[in-house]
Amino acid sequence: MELTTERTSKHMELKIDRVSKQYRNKIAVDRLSATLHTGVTGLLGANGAGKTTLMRMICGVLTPTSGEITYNGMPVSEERYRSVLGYLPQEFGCYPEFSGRDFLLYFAALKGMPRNEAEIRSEELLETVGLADVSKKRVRTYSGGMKQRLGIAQALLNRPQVLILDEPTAGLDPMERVRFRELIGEIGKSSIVLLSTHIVSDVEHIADHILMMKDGELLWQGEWKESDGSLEEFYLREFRE
Amino acid sequence: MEARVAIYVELLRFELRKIFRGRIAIPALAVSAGMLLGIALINYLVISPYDRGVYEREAALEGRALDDALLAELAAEAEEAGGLSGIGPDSPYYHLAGYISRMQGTYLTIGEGLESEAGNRELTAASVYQMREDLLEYIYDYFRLSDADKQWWKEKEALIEKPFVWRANFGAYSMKSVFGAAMNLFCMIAAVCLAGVYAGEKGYRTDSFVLSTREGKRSLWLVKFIAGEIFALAAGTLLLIAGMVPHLLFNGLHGINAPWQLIVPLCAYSYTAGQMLARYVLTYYLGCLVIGAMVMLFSVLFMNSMAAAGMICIGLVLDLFLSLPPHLGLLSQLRYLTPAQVLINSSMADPRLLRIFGLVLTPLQSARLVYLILTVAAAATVRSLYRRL
Repeated sequence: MELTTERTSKHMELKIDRVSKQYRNKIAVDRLSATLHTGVTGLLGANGAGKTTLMRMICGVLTPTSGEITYNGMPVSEERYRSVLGYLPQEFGCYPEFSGRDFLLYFAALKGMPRNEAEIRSEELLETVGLADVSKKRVRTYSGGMKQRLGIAQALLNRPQVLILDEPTAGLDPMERVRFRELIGEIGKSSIVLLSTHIVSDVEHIADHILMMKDGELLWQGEWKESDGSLEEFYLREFRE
Repeated sequence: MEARVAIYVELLRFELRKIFRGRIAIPALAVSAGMLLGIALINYLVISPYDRGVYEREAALEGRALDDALLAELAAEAEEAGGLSGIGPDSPYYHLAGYISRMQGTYLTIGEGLESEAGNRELTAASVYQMREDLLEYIYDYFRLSDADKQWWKEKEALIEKPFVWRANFGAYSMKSVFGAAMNLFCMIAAVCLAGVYAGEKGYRTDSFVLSTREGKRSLWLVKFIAGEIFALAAGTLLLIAGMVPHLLFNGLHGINAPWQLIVPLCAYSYTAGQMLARYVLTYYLGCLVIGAMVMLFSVLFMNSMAAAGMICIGLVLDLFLSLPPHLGLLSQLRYLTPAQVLINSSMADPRLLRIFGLVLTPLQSARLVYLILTVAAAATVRSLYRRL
């Protein structure tokens, strides 16, 4: 089954250039710059560090107060960018009267996918996230974990070149967590994946690149190799300082 | 292009499902339609027009001129019954008595100076038509019509043949009464079912999902707006049918050829009841569209279903109870162009005209124009507000 985009070899770049977001007296993100390439990037930070605000700006849902975010030179506010974007917000709901399948077909239409392609892709993804058996049941009967898996499927519908996942493992049981990590690792081979979490183990083994945020600022960024030791210990040390 | 249309159709299908399958839509529609249907049916079942032979008695006067001879017969009947109001439904003059009473009633309620004269008037053709003329003059002054507007109405009045020829109109009169009630109920249905069209995305916490997609940011506002308006038309139709069915069932199209003056006495439209009811239907549907558009505007403005529904309910209460005197000019004129007010107008129609670029518009025409403009303006505002989300 093909989960990844076909653009495996083309160079992709998501550039965040001195981006800030201010809400009245609070600066949620402060002059943050980073460049993301193909692969999985883990975004670590405590609650309130500004991870969600940064991700919403990357998705074009929030407009930065200053700075610019571009994908291959194209501002993220452009419509074309949305065609290559997949987004799983931290907190989301579902339309209770829709079935899981309807939910995916609706979002496929929102992403501009033709009906036939949407149906095939939805079936594939429902199978992948383990919801094929309950795809015709109404979403209101789903558990939290099932809704989370449906959200993940939604984000993958259009084979995104940029996949933004905000706390995607929340609500998943340990088995699902492992399956999800494998899935993300596979997608990361051909797409830019940004995955935020405050659980270090979620990104330790699959992230090629790590960003650490604290109080709206980028605390540390770079590649993390197993030879560098425990990422969790490093993370805790950095945050204590 | 074809592919995009297919996507819009697909989205429209889903948006319609969201509205129609919402928890409240079907029960609210069923209860409202049931109320209209039930109230009209009870009227017929308790006081069946067939049982009472209303048609036969109305038909007894069919085609007779409303002249001295007929009014003398009515006066004799009234004397026997102890006044016009004493003439019962068994009498062939029942409806005619009701018609004259309605005119006199308007006479008594609108002008203090004219009050003492009303009861003293004899029931002759001259006095009845003079009373109509006096009333129209009084109404024109009350609404502060300009000389040009008065002249316009007088020219219309001159086109109406006198003496009036009596036509049975019970059925058409009953049908007219449905519009106001259906419109008021529609406002509540729209408030409840359309308030979540935009705000529901925030309520369901799907807004981030939706706004990160291509069509979600670009064209979903329009698809949602169209879905809301389709619902408005469908709900409006259901309510209208529910209200009309008992009348059509018991009366058929009875009275459809009666002149409108026999239904709304102080009106100078030279149309038949059928022609006017067709205009009412058009106005009613445009009213549904504008109310639907307003609810959706509040929905995207507040992004809160309760607030949007609340605004419409407040508007509905104000519409029922707020009165603005005619000396407030255009403000007062526009205030009475709300769908329910325009459709409820019974014996005394608002004669204020709207003159735009040399066009003279009657209140019904003005209302339709205002509804169209407001619907388009609401759509443009929704687009602008949605794009800022």
